[in-house]
Amino acid sequence: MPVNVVTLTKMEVGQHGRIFSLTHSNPDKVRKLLALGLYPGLPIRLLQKFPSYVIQVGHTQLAVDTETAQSIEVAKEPGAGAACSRHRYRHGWWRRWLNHRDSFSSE
Amino acid sequence: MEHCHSKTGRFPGLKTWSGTQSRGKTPNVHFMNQIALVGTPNVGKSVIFNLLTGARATVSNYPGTTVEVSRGKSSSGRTVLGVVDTPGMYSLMPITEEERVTRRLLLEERPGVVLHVVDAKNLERMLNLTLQLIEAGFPVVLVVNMIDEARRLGINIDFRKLEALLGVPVVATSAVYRLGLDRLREVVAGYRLHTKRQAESQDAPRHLVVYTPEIEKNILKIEQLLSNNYGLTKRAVALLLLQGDREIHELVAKRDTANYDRINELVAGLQASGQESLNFVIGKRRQDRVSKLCRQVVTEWPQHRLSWGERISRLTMQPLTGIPILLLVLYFGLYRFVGVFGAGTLVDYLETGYETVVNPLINSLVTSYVPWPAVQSLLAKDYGVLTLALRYAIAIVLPIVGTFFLVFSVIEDSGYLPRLAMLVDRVFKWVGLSGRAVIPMTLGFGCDTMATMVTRTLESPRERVIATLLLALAIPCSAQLGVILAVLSGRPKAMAVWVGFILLVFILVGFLTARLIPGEPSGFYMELPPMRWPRWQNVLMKTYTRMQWYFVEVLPLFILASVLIWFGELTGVFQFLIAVLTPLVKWLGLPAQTAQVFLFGFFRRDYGAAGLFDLYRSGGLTGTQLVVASATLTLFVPCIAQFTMMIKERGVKTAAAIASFIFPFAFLSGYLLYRLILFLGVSL
Ligand SMILES: Nc1nc2c(ncn2[C@@H]2O[C@H](COP(=O)(O)OP(=O)(O)OP(=O)(O)O)[C@@H](O)[C@H]2O)c(=O)[nH]1
Ligand SMILES: [Mg+2]
Repeated sequence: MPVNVVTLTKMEVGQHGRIFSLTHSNPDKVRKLLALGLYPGLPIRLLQKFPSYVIQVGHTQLAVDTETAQSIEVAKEPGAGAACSRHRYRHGWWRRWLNHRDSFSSE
Repeated sequence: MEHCHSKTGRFPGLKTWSGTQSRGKTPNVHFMNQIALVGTPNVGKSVIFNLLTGARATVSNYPGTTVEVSRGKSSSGRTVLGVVDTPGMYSLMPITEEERVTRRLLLEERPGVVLHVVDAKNLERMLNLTLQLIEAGFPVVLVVNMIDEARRLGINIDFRKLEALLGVPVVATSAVYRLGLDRLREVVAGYRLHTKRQAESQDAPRHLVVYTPEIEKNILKIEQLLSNNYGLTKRAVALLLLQGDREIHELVAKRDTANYDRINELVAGLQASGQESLNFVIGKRRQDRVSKLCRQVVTEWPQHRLSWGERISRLTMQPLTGIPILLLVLYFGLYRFVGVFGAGTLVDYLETGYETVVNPLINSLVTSYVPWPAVQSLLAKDYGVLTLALRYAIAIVLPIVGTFFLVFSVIEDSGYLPRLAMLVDRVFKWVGLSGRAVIPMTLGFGCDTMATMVTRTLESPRERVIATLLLALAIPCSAQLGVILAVLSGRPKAMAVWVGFILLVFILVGFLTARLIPGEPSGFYMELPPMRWPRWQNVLMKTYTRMQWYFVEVLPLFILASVLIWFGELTGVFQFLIAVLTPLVKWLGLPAQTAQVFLFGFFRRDYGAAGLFDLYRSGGLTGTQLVVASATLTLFVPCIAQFTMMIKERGVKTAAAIASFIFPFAFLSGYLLYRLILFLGVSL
């Protein structure tokens, strides 16, 4: 497994990546995620971690719980997280809640 | 008809399409008379259904609105077509109960045109199902909906090219703005002509997706072993068998019994030869094809501005801002609007009108024109159909239910509910539910009967049972809620005790049931549709339709209750039941008249609530008594309508078990609450 591959739970908010694989002991769960359109290779971005995980895939936002998030492995794309935090800093505290710009014009 | 033909000549895909159709070789009796709308949840199927048929199927901004097939008729010119709206499905291989419903419909009814509705913003996630439908030999028309939103996001789609690549007609629509619907009608009409003419054409099959050589080889072998008609192309049946679709396996085992063992061997052999599951390999292959298609037809200009909807969405999802927003929604939407305005102002106004104008009029008319005292008391007086049942329905229940459904429709259409679901998922896990259950639970505050039906969207039977129990026990319906809010509105302490008590029961009972019923909690995943401005037409229409539904449901039962009470009173049964209930009620520290309220509540939750309201207005209850009565009445009885729905959805055994738990539990907790208040010596 490549070094930059982590489960969704280990990613930081604002980080970009590509879905690497779906691993869950229950094949029905994997099937459901596939049916929702989470195919390996698609670019995603983590928008939020608490109370649930929210990811953006294309123009869709998807909320999943921790258990499901653990079964999604992502190949991180370097750099994106840093760019985001610089942004936040520049724009003041309230942007933290909005997570301005980067998040929407993802990929 | 000539006209239609020349129009459809514009679709380059039609020829290939009819080739696909003939390959299926499914002689079909109802060849062209049915149009089915299918697709992923929340893409606008029901909006299109309503526009085609003039029906009023529910439209809301969250996945899983439609849970049952609805049927309607669409007439264009001389022809009348049946149109079917289906629950959303993500793939042809079903996982949830609603998806199973939709696939069964497709297989059994073989609709003449399958309109696959997709969201233009997310073609890459949507076309996978299109490929599956085409592969299965369905006469597909691809309806690319929500182009307005796609445009706003800078997404451009080359529809001509998409049509040519897929080989099926493609229509772009924006259903809520009524754009593209004429085209859609034309295409559907033209489709029919072409099918008739070209059904016999001998085009060679062209596969949109070619799988790995190993898989293709096995598909061919399995195809040869299948001799029956399954309502799908043999290629699709073979693929579903390889993907391990249980229902199709059972079907083939039954119809092609002789060859089934051989088929199973092939499937098992192929599965054993690779590492990845076949389902994954097949899905991935299809998705690669979709990605390639999208690269060819979609161009995108990234927008560097967050829309207002996106900003609000973020605020509702972060706990720090989301919880205050939730409290604001509850305070203004539920308390101020439904409780104070609906159950207070509106009800006061209507009640006063009814009692000072209508009731005296009815009473005097009845006494002067109806000579028999028995009939007099059936129609008028204390428990008369006209004076009590109709008054409860029109003056108390209707304004409360109406204001609730108005607020609820606005919330539904904004897209807030899925966000609420993600916010409370962790809390709901304690009570054995997932965030998904937010939707039936909130709907329960409108009408628990409706909500019990909607528990279908929950994934596991375990979750459905827990949700049904909690709905029956701890979720007051809008009539109860409105009355209780109004009754307690002047007493903040009493209100706090009631809210806290019901919340405690909800969590405690949910927590314990979740530990008693075996099984895993189901995982949570939910699409978050964009926040949208609620459109007032839809909000009003929905409120109106639901009120109508409610009224039609409620009125006969209210009248029946009135008649039963009248009959009971004539025969002495009523007095007997009251006599039985009176000690129970006294035990709770309530005056004897409340026995009657509880008896009413038995027929319908709202009837009992209205009775409580009556009693409250006559000034007969102290603060403590109001709290105890409200709490017990909230917990006690799933009303007859809800109980019937519970039997229908969960079966007699479960329903009976739930009811026989609730009855003693409600009185016992009412008693404990009463004792606790006495013990603490607080005055409410
Ligand atoms: N902007 C825009 N919104 C649309 C369009 N079509 C539908 N909607 C909205 O999309 C949401 C979902 O519409 P529905 O018709 O309920 O979707 P559905 O496919 O029936 O959904 P399920 O019943 O859950 O499977 C509603 O809020 C509609 O107002 C469109 O063309 N443009
Ligand atoms: Mg629908």
